[in-house]
Amino acid sequence: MQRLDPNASISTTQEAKQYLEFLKDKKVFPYMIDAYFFAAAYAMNRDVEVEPVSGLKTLAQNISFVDSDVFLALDAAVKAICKRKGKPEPKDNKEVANIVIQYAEAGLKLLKARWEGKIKSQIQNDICKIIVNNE
Amino acid sequence: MGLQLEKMTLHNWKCYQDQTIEFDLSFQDETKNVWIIFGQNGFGKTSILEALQWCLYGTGAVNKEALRKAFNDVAVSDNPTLEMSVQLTFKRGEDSFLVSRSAQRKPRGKLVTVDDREATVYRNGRECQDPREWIEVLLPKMSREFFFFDGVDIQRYAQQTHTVETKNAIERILGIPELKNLRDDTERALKDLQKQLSDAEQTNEELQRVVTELETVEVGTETQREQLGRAKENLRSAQTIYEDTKQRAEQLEGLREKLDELRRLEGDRDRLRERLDRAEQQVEETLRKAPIPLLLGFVKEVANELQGQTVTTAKLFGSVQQLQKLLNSDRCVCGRCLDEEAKRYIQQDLEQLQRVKENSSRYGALEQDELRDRLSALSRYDQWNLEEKLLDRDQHRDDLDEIEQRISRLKRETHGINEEEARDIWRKVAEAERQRDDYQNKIGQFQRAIDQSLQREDELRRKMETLAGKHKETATLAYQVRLARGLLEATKELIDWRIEDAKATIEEKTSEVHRRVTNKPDEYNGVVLKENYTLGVRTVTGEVLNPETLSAGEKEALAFAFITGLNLASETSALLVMDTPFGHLDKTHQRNLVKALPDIDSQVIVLATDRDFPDPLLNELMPNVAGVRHIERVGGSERLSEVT
Amino acid sequence: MEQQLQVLAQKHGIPVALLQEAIKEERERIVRQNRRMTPRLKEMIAQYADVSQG
Repeated sequence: MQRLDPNASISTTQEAKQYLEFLKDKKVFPYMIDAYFFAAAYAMNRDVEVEPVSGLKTLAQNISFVDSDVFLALDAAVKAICKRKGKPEPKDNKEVANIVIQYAEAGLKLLKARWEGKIKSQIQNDICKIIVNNE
Repeated sequence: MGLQLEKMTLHNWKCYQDQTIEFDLSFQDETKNVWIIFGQNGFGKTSILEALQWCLYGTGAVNKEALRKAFNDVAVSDNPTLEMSVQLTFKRGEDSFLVSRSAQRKPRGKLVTVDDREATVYRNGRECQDPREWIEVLLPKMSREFFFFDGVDIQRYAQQTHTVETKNAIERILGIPELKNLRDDTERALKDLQKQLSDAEQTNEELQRVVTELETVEVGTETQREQLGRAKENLRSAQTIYEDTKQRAEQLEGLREKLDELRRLEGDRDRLRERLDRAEQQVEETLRKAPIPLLLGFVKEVANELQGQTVTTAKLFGSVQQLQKLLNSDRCVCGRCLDEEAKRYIQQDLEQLQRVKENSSRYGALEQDELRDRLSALSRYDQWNLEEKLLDRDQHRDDLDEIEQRISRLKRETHGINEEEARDIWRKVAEAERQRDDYQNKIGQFQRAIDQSLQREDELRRKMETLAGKHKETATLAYQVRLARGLLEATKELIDWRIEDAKATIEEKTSEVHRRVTNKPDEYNGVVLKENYTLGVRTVTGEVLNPETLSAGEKEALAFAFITGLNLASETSALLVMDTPFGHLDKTHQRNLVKALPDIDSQVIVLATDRDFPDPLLNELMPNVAGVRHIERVGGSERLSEVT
Repeated sequence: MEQQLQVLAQKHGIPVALLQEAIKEERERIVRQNRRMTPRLKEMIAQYADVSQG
């Protein structure tokens, strides 16, 4: 199973980065990368259709501070998704990262619409609902 | 009733071209003392008040610049050298006074000056030689703010300290200055008479000795009196300091508990902040793991898959070992011999299996095991409980908000006090009390010394009279000296009595009126008149409140009560003219003050808007209203008004 | 006030009328710059001294 490289950089589109900054500034998530991976997980969980993204800029040079279990869960999800969709497994960690990025971008778009007009505490309560009630 | 305004005539004064306002006093009913002149804002109410003040006090009340603008605009356009005048007719008892003042506009090129003339005063139709002095007798300029005032300005009488001018103005109303003048004049007359007596008795050595000794004793007595006076003043100050310090101490005593509570709460707040930080940290940590529960399905799937692969690999390793063993032996497991064909087939299988095994080894069996174990463990992940942590954090935040609100409230309540003062205050109370007692003792000593001196003076005087009686002139002079001294002593005592009596009267009358006008009759039970005629409101618990802590409405009620009390304590009450006094007050104060107007033992002229007297209030007051006038615009012009 | 004048006049051995008249005249002169009251008081005292001494 190919793994994300914690020492590699992660990139986002400008639009996604703006929203990540917003979530960080509002202290919904402690770091932008946390929100980014949550968005990816959200999209993976909902089996959202994704497509390649372009115009990426570096979000973080090093993401080794992210919890290792989060990496593992994402790696496993990428592997499982490829298998479910009958696609070949990623050959290296870059391909894994590319798939995560596609889901993160798609997930962020959905979350942005879902959290429109909500304040920090409302968003955090909604995260509970997303996870506990699968809403 | 004292001085009353009977008529005022305005000629070219501001918006009034030819206006006479009459206050018919001929059939005046004692219960009808209120006159109301209604006018909307900007119609000319204040112009009437200014006309009154200008007529009486000239540029002392309306400055030159304001006076230059006081000429009626419409009339000025026809006549640039316009004359304007104001005439006031007052009545006091049987006497009638006409006060008149005029001014002329003097344009010089672009510059306009005003020829402001001296007022003239007629008493019962005869012109008075000294108009200014007569006006001072009628309505002293110094005290005019106690007769003419606007509603907003009135509050300043309820301040903690009065200026010297205000104190003098109050004493003027009470008739104290003339008594002080009499004391000073009598003192001078006495000295003159004593000198005459001394001169007349140059030859009488014994008398001279007695007179000299008497003078020495008198000087000593006077010094002792001055010392006594100073000691009394010091006592009053010491008493005030003692009371203030004690009040502050009692206040601090109450606040001390609050200070303790504040310190306790600040400790609680710091602990809560730490807890909140920890809770916030836990929320963050939980949020950082939020992707995991969303991905558990995938994790389980991959964990199962890896588990299956492990079994397959184990089987594979077993097969390689068995095939290797088979190739190395000549016989098959079934006991038959292996031919070349069979061996080649087994060799091919073996090679294929070894390739698979090599691949597995390259990945690292240990790593694979570890990954499998980790995924397997992660697939059982169930520690994600954000909801609980959010609730915990929000609870802490609510607790912190509540505690901060309480701290903020306590800080406001204990603002301005500090620990040091709280510790030190009772020592200061004791010190102030000791100081007061010292002055009390000194006063007793001075009083005893004065009594002894007076006794000695009396003996010497009797001796002097006996000696002087031998000579007619000296006898007469000696008697005159005695009368002068008696007059002086009586005047001194009269001043002290008058001040105390007037204060007591003001306090009593002000308290009476205040109880009627205050909106808190259940909380306040009187007014205290302090030194320098400043006021305090006494509560039912005996505490004396500083007037500056009262609300605007309460201040106005207190000031109104004071002015009324002052008027009642004055021997010669005067009219009160109030400009828009009630409109800005809360309903209770407005109602109470309006209802108290008939209680004033003076003519009251109120320049009012409709807001000052809402209809129901006006109806209640009507039995006490002597007349109502209305100011109206003439021809819709802002520059012309008339009173109808 | 009147009652107090009586009490004080009696206490200090002076005619109450002298006290009343002196106060009245001072009151009338209250606003004058130069009251010239000392000579007037001496005059009044002399008059009352004459009256009393007969």
